[in-house]
Amino acid sequence: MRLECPVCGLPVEVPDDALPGEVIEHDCGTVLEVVHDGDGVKLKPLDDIREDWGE
Amino acid sequence: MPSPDALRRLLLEGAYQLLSAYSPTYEESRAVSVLKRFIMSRLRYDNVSTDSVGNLIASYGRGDASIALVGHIDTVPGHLPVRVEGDTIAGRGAVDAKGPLIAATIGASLARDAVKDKLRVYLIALVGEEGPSHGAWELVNRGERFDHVIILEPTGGSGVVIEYRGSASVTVTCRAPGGHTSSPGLNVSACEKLFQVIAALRSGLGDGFSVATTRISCGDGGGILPRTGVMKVNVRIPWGSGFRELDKALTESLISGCSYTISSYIPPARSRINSPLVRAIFRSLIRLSVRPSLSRKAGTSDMNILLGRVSDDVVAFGPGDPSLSHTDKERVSLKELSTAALAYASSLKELVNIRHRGRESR
Repeated sequence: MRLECPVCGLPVEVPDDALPGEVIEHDCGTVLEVVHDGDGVKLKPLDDIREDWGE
Repeated sequence: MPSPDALRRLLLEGAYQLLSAYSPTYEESRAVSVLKRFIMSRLRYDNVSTDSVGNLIASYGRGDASIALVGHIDTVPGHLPVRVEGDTIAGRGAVDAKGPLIAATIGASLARDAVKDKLRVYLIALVGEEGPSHGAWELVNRGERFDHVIILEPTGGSGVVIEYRGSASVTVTCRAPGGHTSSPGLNVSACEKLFQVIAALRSGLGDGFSVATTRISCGDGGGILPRTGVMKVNVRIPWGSGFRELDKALTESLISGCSYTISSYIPPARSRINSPLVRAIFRSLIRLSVRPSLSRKAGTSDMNILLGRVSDDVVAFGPGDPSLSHTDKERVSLKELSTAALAYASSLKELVNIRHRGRESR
């Protein structure tokens, strides 16, 4: 399926079976998260990439 | 798939045996034998062997695609008694990284029937990760290649690590003419020069770098201003920077009479977010009702060595609280290990499906 990047507005190819919670990095550099939208899904910018300690 | 109780018992048995075989770097052979015996007697791999440096390699499956689950069997030094308290097992390496290693060893075995005809699966327990990484370098040097690699390190059981900082070991040496300690204004101590160089290096490196002093040798405590000082520092390098930035900052930090050498350098590493492996692990965690997250690590791991050399699709994932690594409080719950074992098993199945669908859509 083709969704719209909420940051740049350009299309994003998303696998048809994508689950809410999956992540996709768009060509514009934004990391997007698949989230519920009624019966379907939409994209929102991922809150953050977690900083973690150690190895 | 075993019942939750049966899986818990199997994990406890494997973890207890592995933790009981204390294995600091260069002393891994007994733990390797223990793991080999456990795999051969309790799990479903076709081959189990060790290579020339002592890495353990177990495998099953066939097909044109391959994945390696790569952990390390050595630990930092410091024996800890193995204790089981309720749902928790404690001991040296419970977190870093025998917990992730045993969870993956069992998890990959659980996935066998579902993936064995489409995927070659390798479980690799490396030696030397807490030292010079000679186990990982052996894979590189003999030309091993895998389509996908999961590094088995503690990531809290939900973090999928796509980025590690690089690491460099630097030695700074400063020389000074000496002089009387009663008149330090006339001459500069080599010790003071070292401090100036390191302070300048810290301010000269950009965001994301860190500098940790690991050794200082300077002066003899007598009445002469020290003539020679040597300081060893470990510099961690963020993604987007590299050797050039480090070398430039070091050069610009030097003052008269000082020099530096870089004795080891491992570049930072970053995997693609849109990779089949990231997707497979995310999907498996979501199906297990665990909310996955993307992570970047402040440290350095064998991922820095293997990414691009052994595989182009490498991430780290594993159970355990990473803040307990290298502490005397290393412990992990069997619930965490169980969830991780199921996540590893499910990730292999997801990976096969993702690759299959990708082939169909081409």
